[in-house]
Amino acid sequence: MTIIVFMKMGIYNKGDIMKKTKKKKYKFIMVFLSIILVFVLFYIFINDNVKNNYLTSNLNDLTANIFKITTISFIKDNNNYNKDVKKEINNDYKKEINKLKDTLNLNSVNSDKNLINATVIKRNTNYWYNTITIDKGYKDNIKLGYAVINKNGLIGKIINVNKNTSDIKLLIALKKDNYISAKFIYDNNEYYGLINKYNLKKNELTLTNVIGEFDINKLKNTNVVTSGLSDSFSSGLLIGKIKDIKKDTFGISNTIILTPTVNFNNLDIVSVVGDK
Amino acid sequence: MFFNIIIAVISILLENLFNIYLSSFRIMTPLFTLLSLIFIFPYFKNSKKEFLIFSFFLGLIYDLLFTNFYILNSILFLIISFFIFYILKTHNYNYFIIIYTSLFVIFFYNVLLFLIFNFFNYINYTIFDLSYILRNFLIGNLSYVTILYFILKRNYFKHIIKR
Repeated sequence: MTIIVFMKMGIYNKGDIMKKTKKKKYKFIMVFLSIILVFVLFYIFINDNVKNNYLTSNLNDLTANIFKITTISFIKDNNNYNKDVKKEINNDYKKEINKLKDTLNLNSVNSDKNLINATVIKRNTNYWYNTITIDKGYKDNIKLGYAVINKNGLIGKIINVNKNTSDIKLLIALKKDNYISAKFIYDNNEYYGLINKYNLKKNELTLTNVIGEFDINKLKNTNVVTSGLSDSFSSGLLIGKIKDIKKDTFGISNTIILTPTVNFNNLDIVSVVGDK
Repeated sequence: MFFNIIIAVISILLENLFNIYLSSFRIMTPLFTLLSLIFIFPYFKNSKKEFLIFSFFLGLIYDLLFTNFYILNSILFLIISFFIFYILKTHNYNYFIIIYTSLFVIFFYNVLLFLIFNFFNYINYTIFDLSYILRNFLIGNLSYVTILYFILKRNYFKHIIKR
């Protein structure tokens, strides 16, 4: 209608109008296709199951190595030229040796498992990306789904394995399809539940569906460990300590609040729990 | 162009240092790389296309260095730079408008990530978590923007804005 009016008024000729409508159509199709493309790319790069492909794998290895060279080596090499800073380095090394000693203790405790020690080379403390990258990959016998721990307890699991590096999804990044089955011992009995919530503000995990009667004073500071019932984690990996207990809405089961034993902001050296 | 790259590189390095050494201070969660686009804008004031391309590649570098989601931040940086361009183009380039733009960028970036990650079921955050996250992004980032603005004000902006 508008086109006819414009034509009668002599503002446009037929060719111009056709060209403009064609351009508009192309623009609309381009925008529509770009949105679809963006969604597909997001799906590929965000979804853990599709993420491990040839392209991302090589990119991960490459960038992790660049990151390793530019950050760690850069700081350390430059320090070699400064006498005052040398002392700082020695202190750093001392700290690192202590950390490694702790890790060795951990190795002797978990003697039935094959532990592969690794260094964290890439991390982002931003709340959204709950992943870290370590300097060990499939050439070091690391496989998808392996649990990752440090001296304080469970950190997360391997979600992406490349030749020289691996990505770990942290325990606090809980989502519907990777809830953690956990257990604790109370009065010589084992009680099971499901960790399905993380309180970002209070740094607390929630263990739900625990059936039984408990005395909070006796229960406080009890260790909660992985139950081994799910495929994700083997049994006995420390998750946290019990802080509080509440009855659920119907009064049938209990909801237990626990504090993670691991400080997720301070991860340097970790151990991957592999098969023996 | 040289100054823009310097600003971007400094922001990336600072963000990396904050991630490594100040990770326990949650109220100082950095977003310096994205906010550096506000200071890079004056150079591209007259060329929107180049500004968008620059932000896309900055996002790509951010993805390569800090996250494992290649392309995610490239697209987010691109979308946000589009808004930055229109806000700063239509207003005078002064301190208050920079703070206003920074607040918008922090809010928009986090809300977008919240929506995207929830849509793809990557995380399980609630709207309350989002408000907590937003709060923790404010202090460190606004301080960075303020410091950078007053450092660059005399030497850089004057002749760039007048062009």
